[in-house]
Amino acid sequence: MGAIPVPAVAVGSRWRDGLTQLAGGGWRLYGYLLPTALLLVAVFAIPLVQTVWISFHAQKGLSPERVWVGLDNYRDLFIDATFWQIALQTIVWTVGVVGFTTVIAFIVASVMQVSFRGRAFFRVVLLLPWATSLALSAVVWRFAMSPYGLVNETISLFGFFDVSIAWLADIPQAGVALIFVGIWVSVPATAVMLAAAMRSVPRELYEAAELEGVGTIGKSLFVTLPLIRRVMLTVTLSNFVLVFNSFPIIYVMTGGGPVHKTDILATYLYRTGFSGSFDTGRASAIAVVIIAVLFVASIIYVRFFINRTKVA
Amino acid sequence: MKKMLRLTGLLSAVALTAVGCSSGEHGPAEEGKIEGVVQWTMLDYGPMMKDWAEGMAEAFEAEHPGVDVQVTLPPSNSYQQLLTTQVRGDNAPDIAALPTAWVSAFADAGVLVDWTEVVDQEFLGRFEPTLLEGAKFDGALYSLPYLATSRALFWNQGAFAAAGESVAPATWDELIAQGTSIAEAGGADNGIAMQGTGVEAFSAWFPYVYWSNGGELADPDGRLAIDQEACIAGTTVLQRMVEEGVSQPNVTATDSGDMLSLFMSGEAAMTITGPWLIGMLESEAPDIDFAVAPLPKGTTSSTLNVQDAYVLFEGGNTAAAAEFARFLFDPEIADQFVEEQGMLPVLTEGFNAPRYQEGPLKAFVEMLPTGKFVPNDPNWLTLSDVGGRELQAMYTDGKTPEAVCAAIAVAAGS
Repeated sequence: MGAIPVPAVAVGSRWRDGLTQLAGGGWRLYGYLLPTALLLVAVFAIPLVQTVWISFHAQKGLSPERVWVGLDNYRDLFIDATFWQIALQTIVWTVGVVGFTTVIAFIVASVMQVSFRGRAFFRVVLLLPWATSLALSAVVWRFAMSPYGLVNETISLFGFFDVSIAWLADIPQAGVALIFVGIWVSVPATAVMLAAAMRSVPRELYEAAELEGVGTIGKSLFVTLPLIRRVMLTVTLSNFVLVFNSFPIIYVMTGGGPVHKTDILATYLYRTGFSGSFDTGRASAIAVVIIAVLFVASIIYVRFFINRTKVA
Repeated sequence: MKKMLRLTGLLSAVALTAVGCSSGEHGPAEEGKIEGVVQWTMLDYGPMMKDWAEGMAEAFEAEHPGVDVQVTLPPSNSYQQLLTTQVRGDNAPDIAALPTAWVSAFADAGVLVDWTEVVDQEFLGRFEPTLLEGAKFDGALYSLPYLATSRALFWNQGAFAAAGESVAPATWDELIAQGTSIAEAGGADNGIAMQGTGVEAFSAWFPYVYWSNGGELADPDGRLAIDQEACIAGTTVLQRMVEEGVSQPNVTATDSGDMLSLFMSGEAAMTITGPWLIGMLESEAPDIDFAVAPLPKGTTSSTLNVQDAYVLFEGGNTAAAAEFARFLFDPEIADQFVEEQGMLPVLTEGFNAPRYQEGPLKAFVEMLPTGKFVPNDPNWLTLSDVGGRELQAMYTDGKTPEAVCAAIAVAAGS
């Protein structure tokens, strides 16, 4: 099925065309979209509006009473040093996981293109972390990273470092451990998508590169990468949103502690709204900030990276 | 096995029903018509809970054909959040189980029924007075305890023997000294397993050392208060345990499950917890030669008492839910339940069972009268949250006990 050509027309002309289509019975097309639109309104728009509304109120503890406080929750949030510390940690976590994931997944996807003995087994092993739930993976790694766990046991086998490192007890090691697990669970899906994109690259281009004397790494960098760039950017955006909001790994492994040192905005939101003082108003303000940041970052990313990339 | 359990529960309940009906034990709740749906949210104590709870529900339904008891056993990690969300959404269950430390927050929100309005004094007279008193909030009985625990020191006699020790520590100083010598002698990797994350990192470990140094968590008017001198003395004990390497190295990443695992695997020579560890050790770590001792002293002796209780939510099917609670408090059902959970009873006659007169449970029973409950104050959960972070800052960032106690006092509003 070929792509439908979209003529370059002025905005006003598009509106006229749209109205003409509707008048000609094109409204049926919108009817087909209605169930999806209603679902989106029910599961996204209404909760979003409700969250914004609650963020303008003070509601603590178990009392259902809400008091209008305007922008106070946002003001309190923005003058709170803990919030900015956690915001910075969220950026480090997101960039660390997404950045390393993209690079490692690209290498793994490239390896998956090569025929070798045991490739099927390699693919199955690769998919295991993806097939396992995030919470379960986090539980397993939490045990493995205890002072007497598998990680320290393995390190001690090679004679490296202290064999009783308290991986999750403090930073920086807890941050490193969390980012490692984040990468571990993110690589499989990313690699599979990149591998699928790589299979769409015409073989003739690789053959032409070989004739020019380009090596394996050169082919990856100068043939594969440019041709799958759009897919890679889209997958990276998807990973960015998922990792930014990722909750289970950090909640299970460190709970955001000690003293907020491994919290990200998603876990901080949860702790604010569902423990201690049960501050729903402040938690809603955090949620609105998260949505706003992701929305703006996504728009910028799409505008400046994806839309400016030629279709492969 | 599951069917068997359910059948046993059902049969025993039917038999008890016959006895109960003939003896005319039922009070005011029976006067109203008992019918409709009863939503029962129960704490999950382990793999057998589902069968037990469903067995109880079926047995009660057999006794009251018009009643449908719907059981919910939420995961323990999200239990508090679930109830909070339900209450805020005006969708609370009719009857729910929760630790009494949470009751004040719900009572303060005005969503709980006072049990004295739905059960008679004769029924309440069957409860151990200390425990019933500990369940009160603002003079009202919003929660009815169904099991109790106190906390004691578990010590590994084999690990102690490796260091030439044969007696449990009587003071915190002795605990630190013995823990150090045991670790050095190789009796265990760590002297004591401590909890440094999760709810009890503060709400249990702080009272252990604070109360035993003469502190009180409430002022004479019943408001939250922190005695700075006792707080500093208590938190210094915790700080020394971590800094001097008596505890495991990853205290701030150790929750209650990890803490118990350290003791059960022999990696820690001591820990402080409740009687449930006895059953766990007997079934999963029979090689650990353990004993139970009172909590070490500071300037005085004390321990933490905890009890889980049933609450009735306003606007629900109160009559049927209260009658269901009376059913669960039948002496035989109640005693069987606390025995299976390895806890202490709440009904006075329950303490007559031989298992509380000898063996490891005896230490817990003996400590119960000297123990204290955390205050029934709606701000306790907030204080506990802040306190947990302050202790973590002391363990990882070297924050001083003075600074920690000052911050805790601010959170307590004292």
